[in-house]
Amino acid sequence: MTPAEAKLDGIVGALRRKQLLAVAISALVEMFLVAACVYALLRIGLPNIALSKPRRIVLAFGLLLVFVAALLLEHARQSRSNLFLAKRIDLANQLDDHLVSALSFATPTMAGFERACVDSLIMRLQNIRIQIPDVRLERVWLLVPAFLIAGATGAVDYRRRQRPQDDGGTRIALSPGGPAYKAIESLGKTDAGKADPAYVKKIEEARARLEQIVSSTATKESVLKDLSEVRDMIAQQDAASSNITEAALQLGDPKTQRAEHLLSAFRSGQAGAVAEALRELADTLAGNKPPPLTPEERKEIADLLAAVGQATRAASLMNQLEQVSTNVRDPQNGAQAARDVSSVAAPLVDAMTREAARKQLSNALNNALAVVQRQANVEAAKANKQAGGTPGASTRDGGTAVADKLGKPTPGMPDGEDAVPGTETPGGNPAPGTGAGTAKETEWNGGTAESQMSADDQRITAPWTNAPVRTLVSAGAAGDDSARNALRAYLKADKALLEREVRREEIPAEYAQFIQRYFSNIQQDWESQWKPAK
Amino acid sequence: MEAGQVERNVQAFGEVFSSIEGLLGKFIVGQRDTVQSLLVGILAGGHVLLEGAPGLGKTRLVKALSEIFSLKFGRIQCTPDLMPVDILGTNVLTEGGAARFQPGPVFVNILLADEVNRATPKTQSALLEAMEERTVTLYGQSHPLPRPFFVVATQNPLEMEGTYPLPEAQLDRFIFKLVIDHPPMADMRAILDPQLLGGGPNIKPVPGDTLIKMQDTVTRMPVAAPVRDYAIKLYRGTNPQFEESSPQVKKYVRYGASPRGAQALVAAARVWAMVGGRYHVSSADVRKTAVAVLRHRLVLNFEAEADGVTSMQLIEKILQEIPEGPAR
Repeated sequence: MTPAEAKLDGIVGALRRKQLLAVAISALVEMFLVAACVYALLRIGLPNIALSKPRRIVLAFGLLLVFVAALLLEHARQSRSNLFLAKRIDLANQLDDHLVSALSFATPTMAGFERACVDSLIMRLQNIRIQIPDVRLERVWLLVPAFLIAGATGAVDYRRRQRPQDDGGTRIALSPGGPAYKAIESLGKTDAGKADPAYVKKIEEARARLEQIVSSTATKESVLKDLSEVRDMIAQQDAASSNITEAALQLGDPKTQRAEHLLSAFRSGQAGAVAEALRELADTLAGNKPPPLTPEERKEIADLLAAVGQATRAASLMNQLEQVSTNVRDPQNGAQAARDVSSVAAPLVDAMTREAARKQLSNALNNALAVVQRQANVEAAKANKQAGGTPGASTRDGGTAVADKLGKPTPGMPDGEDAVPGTETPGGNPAPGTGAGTAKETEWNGGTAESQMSADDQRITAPWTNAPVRTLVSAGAAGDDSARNALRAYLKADKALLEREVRREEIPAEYAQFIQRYFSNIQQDWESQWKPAK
Repeated sequence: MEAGQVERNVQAFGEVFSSIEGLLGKFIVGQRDTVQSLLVGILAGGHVLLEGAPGLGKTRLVKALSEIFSLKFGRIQCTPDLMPVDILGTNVLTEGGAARFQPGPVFVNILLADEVNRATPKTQSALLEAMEERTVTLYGQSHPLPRPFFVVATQNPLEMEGTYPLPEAQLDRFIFKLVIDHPPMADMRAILDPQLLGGGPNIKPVPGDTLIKMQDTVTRMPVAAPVRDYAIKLYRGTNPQFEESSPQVKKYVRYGASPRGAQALVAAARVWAMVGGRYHVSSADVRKTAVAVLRHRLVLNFEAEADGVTSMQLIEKILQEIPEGPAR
C-alpha cells in the first residue's frame, strides 16, 4: 500500500469506525427490545414457568445469540463500501468528489491524471481539516417501545405482587427476606448440596418455586406438593447417606459393628438372637472381667448404648415418616402433614446422618413447610371468619387452633423425640449420644401439640421397653440363671462404673442419672417377672 | 503522461479556455453560458444544436469560433430543396472520363447547418450520418472528414410551417442543445454599439492544432466509478422503463436518454473539470451538463403536453431525486 493509499484509507477508516460503533449500538437496541419482550412474556404471559438455573443460562445464551444475530444483521445492513464512505466525507467537506476519485485512482500503478489527482488531494488535505460526518443511529426509536414494554411489565408485576388475584385457590405470600426463603436460598450452599447434581437440581426447583410463592402466583396445594417432593428426595438421600455411614462404621469400628448387629437382629424380630447377643455382651463386660472396668471398657459401654439407642430410635422414626409422607401428599391434610414433618423429619434426619449439611437442609425444608402451612392456616382462618364461622373451628387445614399450636411453642415441654426410649424421661433429659437439642434448632418443633407428643412417645418407647428387654426377662423368668446373672452383673458393673465416674467427674451428672434410672427401671421390671430359680 | 505534464496541460487548458471565451466575448455580447457550453461541447468532441429566434447571433457565434481556432468554416443554409449531394459532394467526370470526387461543404472543420429543420429528412439524415461517422461514403467509397470536425446546427422555433423537425434518433447525435434567449437590457446597449455593428474585431487566433490537443487531453482524463455511476443513474432516471425513474418520468416521458446521452454527460463533465483546473471529474460537473445534454433527449408524451410539463422541469426533478455517489 502506497503512503497515499494509506492516508486515504485512514480518512475513510475513521468514518468506518464510527459506522461500526453505530452498528453495535443498533444491535444492542434490538437486543434490548427482545429482552424486554422476553421479560414481559415470562412475567405476564407465562408466569408459571419456573426459571431454574439451567433455564436462566439457556435464556442468557439465547439473548446472547440474539445480540450476535442482530450485530451480524446490522453489519450486513449498514455495511458500506469505501467509496460510499468517501463520498460522505466529500459531501461533508465539500471536496467535489476529490476523495472519491482519489480513492478510486490510488493504485500502485497510477500515473498521469490519477497521480495528479491523488497528489493534489494530499496537498489539499494539508491545508484543511477533514470533518468526519456523524453516523445516524439506526432504529434507536426501538428503545421507546422497549422501555414501554419493560415499564408496563414491571408495573403489572408490581401490582400483582401487591394485590394477588383470587382464582379460588389459597394464595401463599412469603416475604423475600423471611426465614423460609433464606433457608431455601442457603440450601445450595452446603457441601453436600454442591456435591450432588441431582440434589442441586432439586434445590433450584425448590428455590424457583419459592420465588413463585413470593410473587404470589402459586397455590398452597401446588407449593405443598412440590416441597414434599423435595422433602422426599432429601429423605432418600439421607437414607442412602445413613447406609453409607453405617457401612463405614461397621468396617472401621468393631464396637459399633456389634451394636449394629443388635439393631439388625432387633429389626428383623430375632428376639432370641438379641438376648444371646446381650448375654454375650454382659459376659464380656461383667462376667469375664470383674470390676473395676478399664476406661476403654467403660467407653465401649457408653458407645454401645448410644449407638443402639440412636439406631433404634431411628428405626422407629422411619416408620413414622411413612405415615407422614402419606399425609403430606394429601392436600386436604396439609396441617397434619406439616405437624408430622415438624415432629419427625428433623430428628429423623439428625439420627440417620451426622452431617451438618443434612441437618441444615432438613431444617430449611421444614421451615418452608411450616411457614407455608402457617400462612395457609391464617388465610383459612380469615376466610372462615369472613364467612361467619367460629374462630378455631375445624377447617380444611385444621383451623386456627392448629395454626396457633404450630406457631406457639409449649412451655416446659420435654424434647420428646430426643428422650431415650424406654424411660420416663422426667424433665425431658436428653439421651446420651443422640441429637439432643436438634429440636431447638427449628422454629417449628417447639410448637408440637401435647397430644401428639404422647402418641409419639408410645410409639417410640414401645419397641425398646418390650421386645428386647422382655426377651431377656423371659429368658431369665424361664429360669435361665446365666441370663439373670449376666444381666445382674451387667447392671451392677454399670452402676459401679457410673458411680466411680461421677466421683471422678468423668461423665456429666445428667448422663449418669439417666443411666441409673434406666437400669433401675429395667431391673425392677426384670425382678418383678422373674420366678425363683429352680 | 507524467503527473507534471498533466498539471501543465490542465493549467494550459484552463488558460486557453478562458482566452477563447474572452475572444468570443468580443464577438458576442452576453450569452456567456451559451458561449461556455458551446466551447465545452466542441472540446468534448460533440456537435451542438443551437435553438433560438433569428437575429440572436447564432451564425456570428459559430463564425467567430472558426476564426479564433483558425479552422476551415463551412455553412449550409438548409432549405426543403437541399439535396444530400449539395452537402456531401458528388463524383464528377473529368476530361479523361474518370470520376473525381468533388467534396461538398461538409468537408470543413466547422460546419454551420443553418435552420437544419428546414431540410428534408433525407438531407438531414445524410448530414447526421456524416456527423456520427465522420466519414462520407459516396458510391461505395469512404471519404474521411477533416479533423477536427463538428457541426453546429441551428433551428428556429418559430415558423414551424414547412419544417421537418429532427427525429429523436438524429437529435441524439448532438451532444448539447443550447437555447439562446434574448439578451438583457445591458447587453442590448452593448450590441447596439457602433463599433460592433461595423464588423468583427481584429483578433489573434490560437494555433490550428490547439483544439485537437485540448480534445485529446480531455479524453485522457479518468472518471471515478461513483461519478460514472451517477451519470448512469441519471440516464436511467430519464427512462420510464427503469426502476430508478421517478413517477413523473414514468408518467410523462415516452423515451428517455440513450447510452450515448450518458457518454455525453461524462464527456462534457470532463471538460468542465478541466476548465475548473481539476484532475478529477465530480458529480457536480455531471450535474452541470445535465440540462444541455438531456434536454433534447427526453421525448415527452401527449399527457406531458396536456399538463404543460416540459423536459426542463423533468430534468430538474430528476436531478433533485437521484442521489450522488455509490448506492452502498
